[in-house]
Amino acid sequence: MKSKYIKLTIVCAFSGLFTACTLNYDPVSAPTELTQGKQTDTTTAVLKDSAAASSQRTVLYQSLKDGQEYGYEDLLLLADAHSDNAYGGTTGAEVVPFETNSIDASSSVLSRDWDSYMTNISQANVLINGIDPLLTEGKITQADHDQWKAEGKIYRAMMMFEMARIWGSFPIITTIAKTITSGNIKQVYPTYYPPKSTAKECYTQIISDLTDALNYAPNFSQTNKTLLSKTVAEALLAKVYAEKPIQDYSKVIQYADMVRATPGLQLDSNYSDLFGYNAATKDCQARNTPESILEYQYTSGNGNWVTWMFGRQLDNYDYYFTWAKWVTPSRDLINAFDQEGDTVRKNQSLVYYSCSWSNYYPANHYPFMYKIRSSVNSIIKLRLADILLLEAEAYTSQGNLSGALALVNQIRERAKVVDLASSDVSTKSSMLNAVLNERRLELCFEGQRWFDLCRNGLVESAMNSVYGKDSGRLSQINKFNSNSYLMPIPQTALDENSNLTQNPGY
Amino acid sequence: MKNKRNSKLWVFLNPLFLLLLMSIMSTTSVFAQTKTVSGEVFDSSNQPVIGASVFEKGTTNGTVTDMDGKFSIKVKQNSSLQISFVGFQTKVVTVNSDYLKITLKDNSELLNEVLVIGYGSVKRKDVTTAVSSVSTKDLEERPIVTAMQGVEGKAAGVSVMQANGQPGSTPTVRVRGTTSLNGSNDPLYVVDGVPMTDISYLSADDIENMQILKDASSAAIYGSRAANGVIMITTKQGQKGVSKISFNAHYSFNKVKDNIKPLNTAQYEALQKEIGLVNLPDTLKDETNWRDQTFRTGYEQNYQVAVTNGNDHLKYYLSGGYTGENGVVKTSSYQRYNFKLSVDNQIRSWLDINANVAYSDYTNKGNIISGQGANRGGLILAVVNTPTYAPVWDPKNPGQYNTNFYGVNITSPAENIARTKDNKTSNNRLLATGKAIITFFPGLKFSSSLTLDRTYSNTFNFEDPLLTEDGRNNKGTGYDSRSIGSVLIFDNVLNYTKSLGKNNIDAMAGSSWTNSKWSQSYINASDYANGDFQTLNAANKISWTGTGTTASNWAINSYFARVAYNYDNKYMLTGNIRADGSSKLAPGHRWGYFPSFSGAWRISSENFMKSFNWIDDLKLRGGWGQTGNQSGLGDYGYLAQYNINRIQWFGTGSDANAVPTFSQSTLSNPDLTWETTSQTDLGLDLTVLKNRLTFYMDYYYKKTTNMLMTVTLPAGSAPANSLVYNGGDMVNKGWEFSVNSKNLTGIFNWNTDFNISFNRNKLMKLYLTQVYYDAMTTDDVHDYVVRNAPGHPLGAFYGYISDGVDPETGNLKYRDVNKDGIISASDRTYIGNPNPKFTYGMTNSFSYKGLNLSILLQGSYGNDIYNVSRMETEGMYDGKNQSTRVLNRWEIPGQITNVPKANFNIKNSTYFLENGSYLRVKDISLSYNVSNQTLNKWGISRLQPYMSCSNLFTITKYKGMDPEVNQYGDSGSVQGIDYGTYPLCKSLVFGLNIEF
Repeated sequence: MKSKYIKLTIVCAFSGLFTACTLNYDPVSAPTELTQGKQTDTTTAVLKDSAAASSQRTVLYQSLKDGQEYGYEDLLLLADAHSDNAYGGTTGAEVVPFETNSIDASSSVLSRDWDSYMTNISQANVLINGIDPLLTEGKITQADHDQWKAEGKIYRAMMMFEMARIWGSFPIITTIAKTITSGNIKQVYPTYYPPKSTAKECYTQIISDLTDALNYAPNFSQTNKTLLSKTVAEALLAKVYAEKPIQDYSKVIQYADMVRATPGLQLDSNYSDLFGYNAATKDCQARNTPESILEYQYTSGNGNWVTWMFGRQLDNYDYYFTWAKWVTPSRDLINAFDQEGDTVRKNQSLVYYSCSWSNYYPANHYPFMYKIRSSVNSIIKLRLADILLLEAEAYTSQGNLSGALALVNQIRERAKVVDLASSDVSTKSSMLNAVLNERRLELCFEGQRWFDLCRNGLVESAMNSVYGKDSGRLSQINKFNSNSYLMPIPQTALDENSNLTQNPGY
Repeated sequence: MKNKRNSKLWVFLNPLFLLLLMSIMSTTSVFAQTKTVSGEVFDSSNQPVIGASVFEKGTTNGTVTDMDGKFSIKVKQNSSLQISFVGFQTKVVTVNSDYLKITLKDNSELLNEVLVIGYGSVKRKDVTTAVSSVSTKDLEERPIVTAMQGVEGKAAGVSVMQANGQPGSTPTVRVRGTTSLNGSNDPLYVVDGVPMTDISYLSADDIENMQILKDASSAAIYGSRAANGVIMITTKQGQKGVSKISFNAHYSFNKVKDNIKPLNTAQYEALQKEIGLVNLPDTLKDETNWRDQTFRTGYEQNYQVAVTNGNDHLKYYLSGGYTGENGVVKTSSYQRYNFKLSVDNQIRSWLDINANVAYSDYTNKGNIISGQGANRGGLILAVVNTPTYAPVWDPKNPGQYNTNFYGVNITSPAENIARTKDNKTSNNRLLATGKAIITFFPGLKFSSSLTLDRTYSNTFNFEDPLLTEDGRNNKGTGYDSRSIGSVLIFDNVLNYTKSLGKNNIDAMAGSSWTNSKWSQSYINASDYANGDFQTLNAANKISWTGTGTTASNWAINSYFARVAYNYDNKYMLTGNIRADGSSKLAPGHRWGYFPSFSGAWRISSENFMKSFNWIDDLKLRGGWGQTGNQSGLGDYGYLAQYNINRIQWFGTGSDANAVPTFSQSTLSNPDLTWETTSQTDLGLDLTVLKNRLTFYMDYYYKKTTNMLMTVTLPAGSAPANSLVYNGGDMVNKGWEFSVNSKNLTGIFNWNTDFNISFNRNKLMKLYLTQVYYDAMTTDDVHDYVVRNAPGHPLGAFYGYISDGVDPETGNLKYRDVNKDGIISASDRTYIGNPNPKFTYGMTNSFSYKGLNLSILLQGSYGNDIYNVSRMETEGMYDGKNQSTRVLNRWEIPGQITNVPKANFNIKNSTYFLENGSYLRVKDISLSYNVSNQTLNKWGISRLQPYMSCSNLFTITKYKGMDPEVNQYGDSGSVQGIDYGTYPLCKSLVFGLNIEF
């Protein structure tokens, strides 16, 4: 009896010892390479079908809307608070160094910007590289392929252009690095740790992407200005050719003219359409205005968050209005408006509220930047006025002062400001000053001013004097010099990638 | 065999029945020449031992001692008596008089202590590896909520740190240093043979003993999961012949340290004038003591009941209890109900069936916001940062907390408490194990066990739509997350022991498989009409991006074997091998093989040592082994993973038929495999002076290779820049010493246990990206203070060197490290190390006639703390109120002071770096065993009132609230940061133990 049990248990025992369960568990609630396709040594990028390409295209468009921090807020910090348009607005190392000119490689703002732009470039690379195999495999229509790839290239050029303006140069990456394995690590390693290219190479890459895209990008649509259209590419080309490393004003004029020729694109007669909020409908005053070339649009239920960084959010009036706001309009800018008697644009650019803090102004009459004022207002990334004034700048440098004046006055008329008389702008330098001042008033808090100064080599002359004449400005820590034109490469990026080198002066 | 069982049965029958049997037996043995012997049995402190078994040796003739420890028995002439009782060494006395006075010795000689090692046990004297045993005797007398709190300061090489004082928070446990940068550094817990990572469910009262397997050769039997050490916990089980009901209750009062005082209104106004950012009206006066609004006298209560009984065949232990703590911060609390049953039945002579069921329900409420400034809800900092002129409530808006601080971006402690007061996390945990042990023949045993470890967790957060500003901005928010996890563990182990003369062999082989299924649902909601109903049906908006369900699974298969050989108790050798396969690793790299070897030489058993009779035991140990780690990095780390992003389908311009996008979030690693730690250990055990003094010493060298980490690649090259990778090497090496001494024995008993551990940690190599920054400090500075890079200890602090206050400008002088003439980011350097040079603990216990006193001292030396809290309370950069330390600030040129001016050039620097060394009286426990006749008559065998005091005082130079602080408790890469962290408190405990 007993031995029978023993035998039975011995059998059980040994079967128990060697039981095993499977080790293969595929993810149940997240896509992985098992469902999306594996990156192998021969694939250029992973897109398994047309739907995946469409998804990747949406990822790019979505990132434009979502990138409010690096793509909007930080640009305002750099272009407006680091220039004479604004003060930092609050305390702390994120904003104060921009106002006092003490930005160094430890800036967390520049660090997140660098990473964001580089990440976006890689996302564009997935679409641009991954879509070609789909075409050869017959998984996508020619039309979709061409258009989506063109949009990817415009997107990539936009990101690279911002980097080129901020840091001068960066590592140009247009392909997807291979998966690291123990077998290929030596060959693959350098592709993950690339060195910087030259500024010229960077701009050449940007121009090549944009000109490629001109052929297949979607046509300009008057009803959907969120698209990376042909006109967007043309506008960007105009802006790119104005930059120092490849400056070519005839190209600026050429592309600006193409932009101006876009059917349906014209200055909005009502400046407030661009930034207005309609309290009755609780919505922004207008989307897809005739003037805008590229907009990031937000609606109720999926609004922008960035508004509360700058002032009141008109669709939620008290929303976090206890925090001192960023990018406070400077006395110097307010004076500039007042000198021109420019009330239309002043009232759309800044607003006075009473608030509970008094960092820069008395609490009962405190100005705030007003060009984004509710969570359902759009961010206007590109608009015609910018291109017109850029063309005026190009005419000026070519000596075509009357051409420049006509454009400037076209802008002034819309803003209900008196025309400039040709006698006041009879020299190249006075015309340039007039154009830049017009750009300042027209485009303040749109992330332009610092780059206007850089492009024209005016940083030292314009900025070193501001601290003296603007009584509200924190004291200057470092003098602006020829190294100030480029921002420091973030220390985090330098430490991550020892093949990068710091810009001079930092 | 049957006889033997019967003979044992004797002991456990109740005294009446026993007397009856005895009388029968006395008649049957009437022909032999007998005599009656009586006597008394005492313990070493001269207290009577009640219920001890007294047997005529070699017979079934026996009795038990009565309430006074007395006995009387009829025995044959020239026989001897065998006296035994649980917890005492069995004693045999020759009957040489009619009245015997017998003193039983405590069974506490360390050499005979049985240590539970993986899938088996061994006597301390036969151990070949580094195993620490932790006394759990006084755990029930201390205000301990989680069992590991009781290990602090008790074991060499085991660092237990109460990283914060949040009720119910689990301490950070590190065995011989930190081995992994991003992977888990928590040890593996094995409770009654069941491996797990979380023991919050367990009441300290239910723990019988605890052992810590520190070196690779002991831990390797748990192979893949043992790189961070293994903590073996045995819970209380029924015992043969022990029939009792025990009840333990205690109540403790907790108070927080009060050493940081805020400026009063006048001082605050003076400071703000100097900073110049805030304009205040002239009418302000002191109004609120924010400390009183935040802190209270907390209390903890603990009630545990246990019933146990057992005979030869059947033993059980049943316990239940309640632990509740109301934290020193108002609204923070913790509650736990625990229940446990173990049954053991020798159902056949060859079959033993055993079941363990534990269920626990525990809830944390009102966890505070920490690691954030007062501007982001940080509570502890808000206590100092909120100006004292402000009222608690908004005078204009009844029912709302005051938010008018004249533009200063803070929220008051009252509001910060209100933000999280309704947040709670409840956990239910069920652990059920069934086990069968089959004895084929003496020496060969097979055991098979199946365990279900089921966890259910529910986090519910609610923020009132009116009370706080954050709540108003979001119109009230609700969050409900529920998860269920089921882990199944099936273990089969074969054990064989054989002695042939002086050769002893102990062999073991087994398999184990573990399978886990986990799923979660979560809902975010907002826009409540009011705060009357918190459930999410009362919210108008359910978040379309923050709502969903997720799930994941994993499994581990293991095979293991051990052979231990012992020759004449002199030479001992042990070899282990374990093979582990994990589903979390890349196919083709899933199996890891972890061998270990250890040996010991008991020198004291050699003939040449015979003359050294003061040496009881001298043993040299040595071992080498490998262990693995694969935890802490997600269940599918080897795969390129994608995020699912929902796309807006509503509103102008949106596509009504939108589907989510998938965007790649991590890179593929087809080679992902085990992190391996190779460890060499050399040890010496010495027991001298008749077991009065025991000494253990260990040296270890622990090298982790293929360290699992989340590599951040430079962005741009691939669709994602995060990669789970075997990407680095780390070394921990150190010494451990521990001494146990019985200074005085007899009526007055004094024991001292001392341990000290020296660990050195260094990150040796990173295979890909070389530098990792971590721990961003205040919003104002917005810079990282931790930089991990090869050649430095883990978590090293990085920043500027401050050379004091410049008497001319009042700014801090920072050192121009790279001598380029300007102070900029490139002047930052390594400024501190959060790892202590050594940690130590000393327990002194005294007993005199039932009076027991135990004092635990514990401390740490040579570690730095980066005090971010001080940046917020002494930074003087905006309108936040500051601590009174800033009254010494620089105010006029030429002034010599060590506190810089208002609005000085603040940076992460040595100015905020502090020496974190401390020595503290961690615990003093005093108890008294009441014994008198009346109690005995009522059947009360033990009545022990006690009181204890925790964290009574601390000697430290640290300026913060408590040097035992770590805002990022669980992190391997960041340690020693104080950032408005919930402070530890002093506790005073009163309690009572009763046994029937």
